Amino acid sequence: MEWISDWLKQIILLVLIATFIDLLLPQQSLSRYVKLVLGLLIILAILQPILQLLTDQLSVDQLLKGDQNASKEAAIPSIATIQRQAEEIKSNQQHEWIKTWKSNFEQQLKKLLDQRYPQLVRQIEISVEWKDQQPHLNQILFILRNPNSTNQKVDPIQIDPFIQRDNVEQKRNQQHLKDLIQKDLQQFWGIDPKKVQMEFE
Amino acid sequence: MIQVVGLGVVATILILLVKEQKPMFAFLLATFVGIVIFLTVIGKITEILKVLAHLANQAKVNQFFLETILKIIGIAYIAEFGAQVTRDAGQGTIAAKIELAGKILIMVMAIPIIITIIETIINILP
Repeated sequence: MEWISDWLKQIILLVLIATFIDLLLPQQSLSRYVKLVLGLLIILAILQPILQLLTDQLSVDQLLKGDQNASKEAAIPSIATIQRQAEEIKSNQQHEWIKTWKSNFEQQLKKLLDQRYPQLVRQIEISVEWKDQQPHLNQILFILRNPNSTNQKVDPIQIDPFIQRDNVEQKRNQQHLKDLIQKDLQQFWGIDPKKVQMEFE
Repeated sequence: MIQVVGLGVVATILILLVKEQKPMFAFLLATFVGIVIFLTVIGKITEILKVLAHLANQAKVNQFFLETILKIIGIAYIAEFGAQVTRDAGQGTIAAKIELAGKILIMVMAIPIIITIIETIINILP
């Protein structure tokens, strides 16, 4: 507030001096000119705060920037930074949650399938999508051992004419297994059979 | 004040006496008395100006304002004095020229102020 009082004092004194000088002036012919200049001086004194603002090139942007700098100095992060950090934490949390959920589900799946079909499951790959604040199952990929190789440790010697017939039978077996597993999954967890994929080694 | 008036009256009587014989001396005397009166008054003006400058400094008036005002007063007084002396000598045209010079100089003083004001107004307007 000090500058306002200084500013007002300056204007008042200038007006006083101007009046005084108007009286002191010797002749009428020059007084008009002197009055003009004194009037301009008073206008300048009135405009001085605005003039200072303009000469310092203070724009609103700069003032805002100044505020940001001040907040940086005071070690208070801006709202944008806080929001960014919050997003980072959120995405990290989601990531962790998905990871835990996946590993738990994988363990349970493996446990169940191992009980029912021992030695069959080799690997389970689950793909999950984050939707509506919770994980959604996209697809489950089972990599299974060949049922024939798991059940029969020693393969019988195969004779050529039978190979084709064996292959057809193997495929039928595989399809049957697939159907069984899909059915189980639907029964236990209500998983859509379309989401379940199987590959045999 | 009495000194100034006395000096003026005496000088006028002397000039009236001398004018018939030597008009040249009459003019010189008039100029001299004029200078003496001006010098006596200028001392007082200096005091007034000092008071003004002191007040202005106390009120933190910008030095630029004070300088301009003092320069204007100086120009006005000197131009006035010169014009009167020449007018006394019967040279009205030269007196007018001196006054013109005074006016122009005062206007020259105003130029930076006018420029600043106009620039400010232009900057304020979008």
